[in-house]
Amino acid sequence: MAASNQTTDRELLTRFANGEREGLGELARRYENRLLGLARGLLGGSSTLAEEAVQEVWVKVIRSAGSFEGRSEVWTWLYRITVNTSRDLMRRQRVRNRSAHAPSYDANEISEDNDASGDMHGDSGDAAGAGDSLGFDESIRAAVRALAIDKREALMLSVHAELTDEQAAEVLAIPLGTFKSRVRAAKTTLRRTLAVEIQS
Amino acid sequence: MDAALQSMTQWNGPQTQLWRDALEQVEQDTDTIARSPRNLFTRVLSSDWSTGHKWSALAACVALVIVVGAIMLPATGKARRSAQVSPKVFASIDTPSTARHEQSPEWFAGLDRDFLGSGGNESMFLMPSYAGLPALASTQDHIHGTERLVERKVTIQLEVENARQAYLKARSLVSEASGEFVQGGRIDQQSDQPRADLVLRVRADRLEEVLMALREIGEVKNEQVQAADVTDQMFDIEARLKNERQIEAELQQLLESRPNDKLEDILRVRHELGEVRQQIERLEASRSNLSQLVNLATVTVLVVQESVEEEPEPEPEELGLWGQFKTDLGDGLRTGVESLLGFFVWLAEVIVAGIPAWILLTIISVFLWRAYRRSNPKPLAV
Repeated sequence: MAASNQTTDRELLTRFANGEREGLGELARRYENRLLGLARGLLGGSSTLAEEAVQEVWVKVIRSAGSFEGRSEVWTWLYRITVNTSRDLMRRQRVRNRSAHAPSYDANEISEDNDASGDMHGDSGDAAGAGDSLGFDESIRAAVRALAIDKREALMLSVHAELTDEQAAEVLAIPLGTFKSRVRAAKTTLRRTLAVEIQS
Repeated sequence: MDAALQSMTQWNGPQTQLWRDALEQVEQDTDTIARSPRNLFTRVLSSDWSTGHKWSALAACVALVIVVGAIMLPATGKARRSAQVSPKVFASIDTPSTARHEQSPEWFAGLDRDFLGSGGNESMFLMPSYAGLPALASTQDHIHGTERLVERKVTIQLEVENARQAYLKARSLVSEASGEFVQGGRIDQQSDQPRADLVLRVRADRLEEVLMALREIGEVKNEQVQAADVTDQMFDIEARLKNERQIEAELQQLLESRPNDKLEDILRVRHELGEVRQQIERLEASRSNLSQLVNLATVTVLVVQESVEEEPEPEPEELGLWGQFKTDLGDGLRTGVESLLGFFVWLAEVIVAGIPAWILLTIISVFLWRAYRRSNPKPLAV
């Protein structure tokens, strides 16, 4: 992915491990937005949680940059850390919400992120059309959040514009066939859920 | 739908510099950890510690476990062994002879109730025993010119090789032709120590002869004699009998001399006469019983078969310090190995006996594990 740049990701990481902060800055310039996008998808569309997750990803990168052995590409490593961190964050959020007796963390986050979602679809026409689009987005988010975690991850990585199916499968460390079947199953479930919702 | 999904994974928010925040956070965390008292533990868990140090810590833990196990295992084994040995020790204290003596009073008392009946006297068993027996040939002693009537009871306990044979021999000593008889007898060959008992009624003048014969059957363990003077009882019975007979004669004479009296008076005299005659019969029966007791002595024979003496365990030799140490070491090792084997046997039993349960548990565990993994996937290797 980033190997074609003048300085490779690994060189940047090595420079950072040797004490050069700018190495990490350059890596962040290359990947931070992509990681934020993926984390947002994995965390049910919450931008706040995505930022929290990616900051944690960088903390992990900083702590283990020296021990990176290069058995995989740097970008694969970053994506995997993002997936793991998103899982942890989701779990923590779930526990936090359970203890606070809140219905769901996502419900809180959705209202918080409605504006951002509106921004994303700002070109969708008149106010009524924008309202419909917003409602559909919320339905999709809710349906995604209802998916099993393995299916949700596969689906989000498959729709992430930066990755091919092979790369997504490599990130999840599963065979390509398994990845595709999970994506297929996720989409089927999603369609069924949305159909039921539209009918009701 | 695809467009909506793609928009979820795109970042159109403000440009962030989260890596800078992360750097600051790590620097702060590093300072905090350095000052924390849990620093050592954190270092052990974190990757900062070299692999060599981790292995050393692990080796130290394993060594500690082995040392504690080596100390605990023989101690546990010893405790178990002593718990197993204790009942044996108590059992050996309860020797057969002691047990026999403890059972004897009940045995004797039961015998006394069964065979002696009203004629038995429990106090005879409380009398001190003595080895020599006075001449008992004469039942009617003469003390200061007065004829004494004496009732004799003898209890003799014999230890024999064969209880049944001894029982039969003792029975054969009775001469039924001369009025002697066996009042009762029983033999018990079911218990560990066969025993028999019988009550003989023998003529008083033959008592010494019978006792001599009994002593030859086995070893005399106990011999008790009780003599009760019934002369006064006999005199009393005789006097009362004489008196009642005199009353009977007078009433008889009264009836014969006044035949024309009122019927009511005659009936009353007859009633009185009947009661007097009943009393005379009772007294005559008592006199007969008493004279039988005097004429026939009661001999209670208790036969106990010899128990096979167990070889006493040889006294342990006095061991020196080194010998004691070797013995303890051997014992400890043996106990440890036995405990270990016992544990493996128990484990095997649990495994084999619980196969159905294990299968069920495995199936349930697999389902639960898969459900858990579905909701909490394994972190990706980074």
